[in-house]
Amino acid sequence: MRVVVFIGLLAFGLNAFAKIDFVEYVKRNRNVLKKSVELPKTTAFKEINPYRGVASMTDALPEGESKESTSPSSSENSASSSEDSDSGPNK
Amino acid sequence: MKALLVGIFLLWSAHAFSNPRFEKLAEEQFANAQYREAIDTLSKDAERLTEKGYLILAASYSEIQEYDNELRILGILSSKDSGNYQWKMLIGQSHLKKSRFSKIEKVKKDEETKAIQSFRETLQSNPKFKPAYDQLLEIFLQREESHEARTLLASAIQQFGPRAQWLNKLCELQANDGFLGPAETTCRRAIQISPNFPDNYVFLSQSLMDQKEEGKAQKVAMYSGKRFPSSEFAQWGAGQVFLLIKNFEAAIKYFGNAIHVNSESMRAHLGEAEALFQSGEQSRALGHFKKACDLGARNSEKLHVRAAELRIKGDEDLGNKYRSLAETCR
Repeated sequence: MRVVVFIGLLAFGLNAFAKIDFVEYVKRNRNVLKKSVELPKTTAFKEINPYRGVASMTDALPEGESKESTSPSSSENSASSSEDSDSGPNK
Repeated sequence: MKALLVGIFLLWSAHAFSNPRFEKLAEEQFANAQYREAIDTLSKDAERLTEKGYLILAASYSEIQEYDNELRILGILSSKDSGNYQWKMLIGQSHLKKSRFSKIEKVKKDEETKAIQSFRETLQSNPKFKPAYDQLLEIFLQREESHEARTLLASAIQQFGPRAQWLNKLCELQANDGFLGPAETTCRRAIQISPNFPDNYVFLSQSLMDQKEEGKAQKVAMYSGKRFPSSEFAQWGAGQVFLLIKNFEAAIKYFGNAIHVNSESMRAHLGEAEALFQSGEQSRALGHFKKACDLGARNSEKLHVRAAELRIKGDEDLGNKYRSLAETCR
C-alpha cells in the first residue's frame, strides 16, 4: 500500500516537473509584452495644456449617446479577484 | 480505498510518462534556459512531436525572439485543432511580440492587427478566457482607441462581474469621453470596489462638474483631497474643481499640495499659475507659468493673452515679462 502511494507521488512529482504548459506560456508572454508597452498617462479635466502626446479630449461625445451597458448589478458581489488591484499610477 | 489509490496512481503514471523521452530532455533544457539545445533536441525527432513537444518548441523559439518560427509551430498546432482557443491566444501573443519588437512601422501595424484578430477569435472560442480581454484592452489603451476599449470593458464586466481594474478604467474612459451619466454610475461602483484608488474620485468629480452638479463635485473633491494627501492626481483634480467654480483660494491650496507631492508636475504648476493669476496674484503666477514651461508646457498663446490683459490693466512691466515668457514658451 505504502509502495503504491510512494510510486504515485513519484509519478506526480515527475509530472509536476513540467516546466512549460499553456498557462505558463501565456504568463511568460504577458511578462514580455508588459515590459514593451507604454500606456498613455492618466489625465482628466481637459488639462489646460495637456501633456504632449496625450490625446485632446475636446472631441468628447455628448451625453446620452452611450448605449453601452453599465454591467449587471446582480454581479456586484463577485467583486474583485486576487489579482485585482485598487492601487494605480496616480496613487 | 486501495482500488481508488491504484487507479489514481495509474492515471498519474500514465500522464507522467506519456511524453517521449526526448521531449522530457527538451523540457529540462528549456527549464535551464538552454533554448537552442531544446530546439535541436526536438528538431531531431520533429515528426514524432506530441502537442507538448510542439509547445516546448514554440516557447523556445519565443525565448530567442524567433517569432516567425514560433508562429509557424503554433500554426501547425492550430491546424490540428482549429477550434482550440489556446492556440489562437498564443498566436495572438506571438503576433503582438513580433509587432512590439519590430522596428519597421508597417510590420508593427500589420502584426498588431493580426494580434487583435487572434485575440478576438480566442474570445469567440472561449468568452470566459480573461487574459485575452486583458491583452486586447492593453492594445486599445495604448492605441488610444477609447470606443473599442469601452466596448470591450463593458463586455468583460458582463462576463466576469465588476472587477476592480476594469471598473477603474471604464470610469476613466466614460468620464473623459463625455458619457456623463454612465460615468457617474461606473465611478461610484468603482469607488465601492476600490475605495483606495484616487483616480475614481477625480473622474467622479469631473463627471459631476460636467453635469453642472457643482456642489456634489466639490464634496467629492474635498473628500478625495483629504483622503489622498500623497496623490498628485487627487490633489490636482481637487484643484481643478475649485478652479472651475472660481474658488481660487481653495484651488491654490490643492494645486500647492499637488506640487508638494510632485514638484515636477506640469499640470499642477499650470493650475497653480491659473488660480494665482485669476485671484490677482499675477506676479506669483508668473513663476509657476515659467516652471510649467520648463517642464514642457507649450502655452505661448495663453501667455500672450495674459500679457495683453496685464497691459490693459496698466501693468506694462509685468505684461512685458509675460510676453517675454510667451516668446520662449512655444
